[in-house]
Amino acid sequence: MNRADAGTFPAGAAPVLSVRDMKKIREKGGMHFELHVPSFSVHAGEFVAVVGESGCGKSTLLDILGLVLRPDAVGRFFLKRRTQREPADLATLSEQGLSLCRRKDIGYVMQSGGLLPYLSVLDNIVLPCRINAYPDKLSLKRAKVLAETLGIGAHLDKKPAFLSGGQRQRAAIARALVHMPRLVLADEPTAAVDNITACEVRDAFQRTAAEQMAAVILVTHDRGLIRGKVDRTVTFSLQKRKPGYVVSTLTESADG
Amino acid sequence: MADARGGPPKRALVLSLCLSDLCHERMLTLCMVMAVAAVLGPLLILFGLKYGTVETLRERLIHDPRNCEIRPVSSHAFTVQWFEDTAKRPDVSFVVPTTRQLSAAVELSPVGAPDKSVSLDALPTAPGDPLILENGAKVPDDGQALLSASAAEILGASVGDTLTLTVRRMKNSGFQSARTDLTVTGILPVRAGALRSVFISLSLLENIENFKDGLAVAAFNWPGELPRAYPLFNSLLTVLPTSPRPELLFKLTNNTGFAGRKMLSREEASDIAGLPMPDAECYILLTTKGSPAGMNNIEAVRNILAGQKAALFLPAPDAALSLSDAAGHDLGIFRIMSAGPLDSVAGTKLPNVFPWKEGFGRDIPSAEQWLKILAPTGRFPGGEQEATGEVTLGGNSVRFRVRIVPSADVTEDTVRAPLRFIGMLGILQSRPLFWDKDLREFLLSKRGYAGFRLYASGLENVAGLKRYFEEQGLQVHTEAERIDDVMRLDKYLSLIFWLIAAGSLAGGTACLVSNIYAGIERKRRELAVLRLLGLGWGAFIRFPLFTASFYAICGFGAALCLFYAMSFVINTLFADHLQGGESLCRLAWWHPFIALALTVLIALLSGGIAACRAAAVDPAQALRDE
Repeated sequence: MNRADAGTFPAGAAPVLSVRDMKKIREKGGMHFELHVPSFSVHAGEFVAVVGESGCGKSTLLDILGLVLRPDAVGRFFLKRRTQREPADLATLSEQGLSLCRRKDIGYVMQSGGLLPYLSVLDNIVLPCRINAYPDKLSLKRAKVLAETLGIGAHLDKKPAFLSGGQRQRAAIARALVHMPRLVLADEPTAAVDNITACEVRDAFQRTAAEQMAAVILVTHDRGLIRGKVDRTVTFSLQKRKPGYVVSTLTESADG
Repeated sequence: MADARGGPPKRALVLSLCLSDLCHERMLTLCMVMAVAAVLGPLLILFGLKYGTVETLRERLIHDPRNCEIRPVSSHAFTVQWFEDTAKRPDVSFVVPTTRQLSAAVELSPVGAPDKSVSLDALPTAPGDPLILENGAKVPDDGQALLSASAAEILGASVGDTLTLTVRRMKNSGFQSARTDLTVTGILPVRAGALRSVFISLSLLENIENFKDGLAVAAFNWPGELPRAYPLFNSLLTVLPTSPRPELLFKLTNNTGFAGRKMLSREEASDIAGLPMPDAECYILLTTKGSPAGMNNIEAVRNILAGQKAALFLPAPDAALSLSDAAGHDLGIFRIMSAGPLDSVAGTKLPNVFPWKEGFGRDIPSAEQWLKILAPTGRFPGGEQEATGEVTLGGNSVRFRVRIVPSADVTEDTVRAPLRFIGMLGILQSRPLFWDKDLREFLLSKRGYAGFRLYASGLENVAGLKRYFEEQGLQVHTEAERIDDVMRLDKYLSLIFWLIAAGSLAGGTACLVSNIYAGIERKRRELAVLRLLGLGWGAFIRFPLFTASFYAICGFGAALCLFYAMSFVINTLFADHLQGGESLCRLAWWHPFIALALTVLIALLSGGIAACRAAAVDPAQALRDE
């Protein structure tokens, strides 16, 4: 059995995210695709990379972890929450409960930032706090500190359209961290920038996430970017059972 | 963070995000608003036109007095009483008598220019005439005239001008004319009537008719005859000393104007005549049927009885005379009795107080001479005196000056009147009389009126009044067909309008839906981001709804501005054809509210559907750059 929750971390601490025996089936144009996650967990402060070629189920996995897609079957799907001692059982939560989890406990960094074009950088960064109705003054202060840390302190009043790709991704990272979530999901955050910038963004991301002990799951197809930089790497093993029927299983990567 | 718990997102957050978005995309927002306005503007104008024209038409129809007019088809004789009764009906707003058609033909000319005279119809009017008042004119008084538009045009007359009214009548194979001057007090608009006519007071029109009938009109010094009252009688008592032959009896009721014949006893005869009867063989009472007998009828009877030594008595009708003196003090009420026989007969003991022989020749003595009444001395000890008498008979009453002569032969509570006065009572029974103070003469009042101008108090009363008149045997003309036609036309026009409007409304709705749907669809990715950030379903759906409402409200506002500008232009262009308070393109105050509500509803529906679709599609798809 492939295990993706290898224990480089202290075994005593409960993981932030813990998944077991999850299955998701997608059918499209006569193609049958199955994603299997036998076991996967992430601990606080851990920086985990998910790598794989396109079509292997990276995005599907991220959508499930990001609570926008529900798995077809799951044995265990727990998320540790900021305000509660017991972890939430995501498999049983209502749409409203999932929405609340996304709002409080998960941060997202999207491919091209996913910044709202009509808000200034500062307003974009502080938006998760505002959605959570956190005190505005403190939220703004924190957003500014984060922006300084990530090196975009000078661009807070600009609209995202006036930022470079790297700056936009840094703003997106700040937004993903501003409300201090337990888990941060990043979907190819450096796909749209050049290599040097990609490395800078990756480093800034790692540093700030580590500062607040957030667990990060980074999805990328760029193995070079993460080699030797992440705590763990997981990947997918593809199995073609018959033509048009693919089963992809999440496994611990060899070069992790 | 100090307070990491937080609460649900504030409502204002979604609204402020929404406004930031709309502001960020100013140009696109403007485009959307304009697109909505482009759909709504013409629709509003269309509805405004429909509402304005139909309302104007309906208002005109309802308020045009011409549609409420009822006219008699042919001439009749309407009594004053008929007019009083008709005017009291609640479904009649106005009625005024008219004269015969021929009597209403007059000529008008500018003062001093009789060669520019114009023939037209004179129509009577009176205070409260709706045709005049609804058309904003003043009802003319005596000496004033109100012209119809075409009459004013052909006369070149304007308000304040003085015109000469000329009336002509045939006299001895020539024309005789009379004139009076009138001041023009107003000119009616074309819609009040296309005919050439002049509105004058009823009394002036009556004077014109009198002149045309050959009578004199004292008020204008127009020459002519006087409508002197002539005596009429209902019965004649003949007293014959010998029994008449049957053929003589037959002759008495053959073509003499008397139809009934009855033999009486002496006592009965005395009672009827109010006089002691001479001793005679035969007392015959002749009575009329229908029309009373005149002087020529009595003369005919007298001729038949020539050589028979007959005495003729004219019994007075059962009437009371109330007398008062010059100061108005009541002098008592007396039964009127005949003063004596037509031809004096031996045996009557009454003194001859009348200095003339009672006869009915052409030379009519003045009332000064004959209007004397014998009254009981006991009631009038002061001798002869002047008094005012009043008699009411057959629904008519007359007041006159009379000379009272006390007489010992007259019994208490009776007066004895000359036969001519008895004849006046006979006429009073059938038609009104009046006493002309200046001429000291009984004159005939107008018998009645040939027609009327009548307006129902509302369109809905026209049909009922028509039925009412027809039940009286009176054929009337109404504008019922016109009313029906216009109502039907209005119905079809409305139908066509609604069909067009329904098409436009469907198109407008489709356009509105697609515009707003497209506007929301475009924001799908940003909506997906908001959803990913944990915005709950309610808050998430509010965003596109706010956006759609904004497009709808701003678009509607722009459309309303467009509408008011256009309706101002339309109403100004057609101002010449509109009356005060009318407009061709307008909306009632509540129409914009309904339209706004509908627009917002459609916008919310289309925005909501777009948002639901955005939310239902796999959010992952919206998140990636594909």
